[in-house]
Amino acid sequence: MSDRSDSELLALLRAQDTRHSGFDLLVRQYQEPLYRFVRRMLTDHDASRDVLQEVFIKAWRGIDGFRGDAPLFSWLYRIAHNEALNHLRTLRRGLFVSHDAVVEQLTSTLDSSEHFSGEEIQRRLQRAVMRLPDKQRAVFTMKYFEELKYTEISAITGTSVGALKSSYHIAVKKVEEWLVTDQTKGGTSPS
Amino acid sequence: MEHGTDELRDAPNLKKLAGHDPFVVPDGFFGRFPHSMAKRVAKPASLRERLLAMHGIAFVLARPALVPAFLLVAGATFYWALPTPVESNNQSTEVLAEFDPTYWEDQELVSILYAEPALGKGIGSGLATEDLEEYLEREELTLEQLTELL
Repeated sequence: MSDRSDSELLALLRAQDTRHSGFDLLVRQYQEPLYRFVRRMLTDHDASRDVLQEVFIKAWRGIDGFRGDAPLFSWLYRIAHNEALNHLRTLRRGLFVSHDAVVEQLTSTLDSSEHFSGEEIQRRLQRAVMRLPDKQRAVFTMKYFEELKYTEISAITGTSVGALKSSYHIAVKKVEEWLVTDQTKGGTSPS
Repeated sequence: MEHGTDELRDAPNLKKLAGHDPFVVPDGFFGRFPHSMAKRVAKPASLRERLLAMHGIAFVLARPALVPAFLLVAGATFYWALPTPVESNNQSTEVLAEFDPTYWEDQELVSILYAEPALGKGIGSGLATEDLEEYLEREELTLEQLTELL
């Protein structure tokens, strides 16, 4: 399927008789990158699917208010970013515990997941990324895994490029350090 | 790769691991997902969803105030609908004023008094049930004649 331009999709979504087919195209076009991002934030497939559904429902309801001054992708990513952070906040409220407890829960989900095929070093990397504070993890995920540009991440998060660079630099330092620490505790070396 | 060399210069482990995606997506997930989304948006939205769509953040912010506001309006409406004690007395007076025994035909009066004995309390010395029964036996008498007899 060839990707439609933003203007094509918006024209379809805003016309009464084509809005459902436009929405179908929108979902097909953006489901994979958005799912990947949400999945890296939440690790669990079921939770990621639920959050992704919410993302598209919000897009469906809010499309008339979308002014088009940013790319559609950034707008959708922004919704996904907010929904993923909301989900993590809800987890924390539900557990009545700290960030560490949520990390513990996500780690155990990852360890028991049949939908994780990584080697031990990949598991260690995910565990290290999960230890980052939520917002920093989102920045790290978008930059390191999704390879988005700082300007794109800035449009999504509403944070300045300078602050993002600083946040990413600190995150890289921490994750690398945790990878090494974890490795010396008995893990294997990255191949 | 944009994050490339500079930013991962001091992170050799991260540099080696970049570009791998260990998360597995269940078979056919991306084929089914658009259909499930199409079903979800085809359903009519609930009242809450419609309010959210129409008023967005304003509805979310106003939501905590909605219940007290509703109770306030309902309470005020109920309070205004209640007759005040003065009004209530006036209404009774009006009913009694309207109930002028001389205005009614005897037969009608008896029917009214029989149906609403309480109305009879405002007339003369009041009719006891026995008196009323006696009157019913002498229907041919006028009220004046009956009053004289009593």
